[in-house]
Amino acid sequence: MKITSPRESLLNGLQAVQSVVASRSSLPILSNVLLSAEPGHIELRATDLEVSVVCRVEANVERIGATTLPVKRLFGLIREMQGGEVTLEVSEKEVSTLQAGASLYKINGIAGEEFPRLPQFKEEPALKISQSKLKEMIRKTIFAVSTEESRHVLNGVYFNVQEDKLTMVATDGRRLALSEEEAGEGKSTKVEFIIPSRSVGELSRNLIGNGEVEMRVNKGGGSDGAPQQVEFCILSEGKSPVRICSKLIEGNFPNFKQVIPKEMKERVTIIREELLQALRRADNITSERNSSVKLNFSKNRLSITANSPDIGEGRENIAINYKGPDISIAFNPTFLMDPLKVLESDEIHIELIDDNSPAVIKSNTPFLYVLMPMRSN
Amino acid sequence: MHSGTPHRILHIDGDSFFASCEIALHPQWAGRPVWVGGGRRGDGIVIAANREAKRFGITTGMACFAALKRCPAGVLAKPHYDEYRRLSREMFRIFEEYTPTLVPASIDEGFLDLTGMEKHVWRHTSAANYVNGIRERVQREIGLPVSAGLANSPRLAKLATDVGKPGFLEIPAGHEKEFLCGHAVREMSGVGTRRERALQSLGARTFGEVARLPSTLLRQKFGIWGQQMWLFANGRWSEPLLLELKDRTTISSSTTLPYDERDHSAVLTFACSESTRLVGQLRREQLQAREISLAIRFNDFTEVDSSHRFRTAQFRNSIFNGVLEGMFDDLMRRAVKPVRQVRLALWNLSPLDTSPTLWGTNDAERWAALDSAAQHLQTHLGKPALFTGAQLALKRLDQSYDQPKSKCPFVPAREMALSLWGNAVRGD
Repeated sequence: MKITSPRESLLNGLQAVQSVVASRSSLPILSNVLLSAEPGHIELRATDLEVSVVCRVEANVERIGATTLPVKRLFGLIREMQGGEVTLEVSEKEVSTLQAGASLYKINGIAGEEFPRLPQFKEEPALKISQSKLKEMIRKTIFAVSTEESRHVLNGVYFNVQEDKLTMVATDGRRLALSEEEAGEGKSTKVEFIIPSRSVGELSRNLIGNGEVEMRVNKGGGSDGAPQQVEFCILSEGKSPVRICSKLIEGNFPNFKQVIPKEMKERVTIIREELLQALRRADNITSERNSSVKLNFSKNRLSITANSPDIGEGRENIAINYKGPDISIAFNPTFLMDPLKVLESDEIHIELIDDNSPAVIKSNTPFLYVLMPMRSN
Repeated sequence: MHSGTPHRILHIDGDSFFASCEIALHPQWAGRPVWVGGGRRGDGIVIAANREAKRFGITTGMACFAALKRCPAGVLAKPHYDEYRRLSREMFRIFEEYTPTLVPASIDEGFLDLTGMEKHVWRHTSAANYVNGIRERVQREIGLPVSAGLANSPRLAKLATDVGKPGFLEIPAGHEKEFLCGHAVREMSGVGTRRERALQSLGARTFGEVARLPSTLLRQKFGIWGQQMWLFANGRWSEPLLLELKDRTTISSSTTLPYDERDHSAVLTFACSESTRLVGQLRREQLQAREISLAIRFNDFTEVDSSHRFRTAQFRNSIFNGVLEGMFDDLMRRAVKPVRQVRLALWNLSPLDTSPTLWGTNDAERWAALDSAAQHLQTHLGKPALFTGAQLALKRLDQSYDQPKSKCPFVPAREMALSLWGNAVRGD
């Protein structure tokens, strides 16, 4: 294999793929990036066996072929090299010679055939959505993913595509974030699956352009025909596409519709920034043992109190438009602040039933957040 | 407390506590040499001896038969730890009336904050009269003799108690340095052999000699502790009394079986039952554990041990007992010797979230509710009313031998405080 490629393009390509590589890996080849040269371009691919990132880079290919090289070293080297073009030639013993400007390096690689294969995806995309919309939806849900290893179905974001509508849900059992957007031009089939949060993070990191994203799923060999893999193809204008393939989490996502309260009794509109700042201050008074703040809704006033016997206590007052009965409800302040941080609207709506029932936070965008109150003492 | 008021901390310590408790329980033994025997049947080693017994040369740690040889007229008492705990609690209830801050240090000693009392409470009397009033009341109402020391810090107060025992010793404000200068550094708690030797190498055996050393030298050699030591030796270490409850890091039990057990399956039954008890305790404190360890001591004092780390923290009996059984089988596969002691520990603890989820109550919450219901039944009836299979099997085994079970008397400060005030001190 022998190629010549603009250094800048090669660097961008490596930038896109290098972060999936684990710093410590059980298989040496997983620390490497696969470079495969085909007429007109080379393809870069890195994987940790759960998620793979594939990126095409324009290149002048003299001799096609494939090899793998340690990605962190290659990235570091090309970043620091000078000159506009990089030439890469692979010997029969898998030693790659890199040349750019006045530098010449030889790096030992591993044969390309040993690199894990990528699954094949159906040509027809199940969904098309704009990059910015998808990124926004990820931002509004991913924070609610559970970090507890004991329930693995909650360690990812649930995707549901139905009638050109994409619904994303994440929950850790005590709170639930849901985001919904219209997405056009997809096939009107119904698909649902759970993507590990790490893959979703990797996807979000690569959503930097203005173009579209195409999503394809790969049905497994199982009798239920449940999808096993998902691929996102990120198309940006003037750039070669980046593909992200991820394994899916097996299992059924809990029935989230059942926990979204149907009839709320009270609805309070609050200025988002004001509430967030009050909570940030009150959060300083909580401890691991007393990680709750109490929201006391009374006539036209919301008072937030925090009280930890070994630290101290605090009170915040916010003027609101409220005529309902007094409600005093305790929350984990982090869980309450998380959605306020990712929303952008000036106002948010908190909907309540009583002291012990889940509360719902909504904004003017298609977003919903259900939060379980803490037991108040 | 503003800086103008010097701290006055009182340390109170029961005299030969277990022996005194036995006398309080058996008034007919008053005036006689009494010692309490530890071990399986209460005839192992002496774990406490009263002043009369000590006069015969009986010391803690001596074998009971040797003690009887020295003092044939003495009384060997079997330990009644539950009674000692009850008496201790009554004693602390009395202390509580005298101070805004009471810090129990162990089953028989505690610190009382008497700062500012000289201005109001003993304005017309003296500290000695006041403290002796407390001591007399404990003697009169519970029948326990206690000694006390009053000084400007808990450490010095403890030292004063040790020096003044039996009785009361006050180190008046401003006389700390004078009092300390003749005392050896090892008399203070927290000075072990290593620190004592290190101080000796600097030429300091007594606090007086420490006070004469440059503070920078002590700071260099011992860090913060050196600085504190220098301030202490110079009588300038004035420390407020704070009740701090450190979070639990381990839940463990160590039990010497009433006889060397040859039947290893009976040992396993015991271990599972004990683990069930510990897991109940774990959940009552709203904790979960990631590691469990088991150590078995044989009758020749050789030991085997093993531990297991779970992928995530656990809180269920079935999971712990399953692993415990596996560990036990591995340890005992080739063992033939009778078992003397079983030690179990749950550690690597983290808080267990028992709050309800959006999908209703979770397992953690349901188990915690079951545990507290079982605990409630037990305290209500005064005896175990609900058993797991392992516990029931052990009970049946126990009934076949009529042996009293000795339990470790050690009560850490944390347990003391919790048993006195319950969860109120934890703030939840």
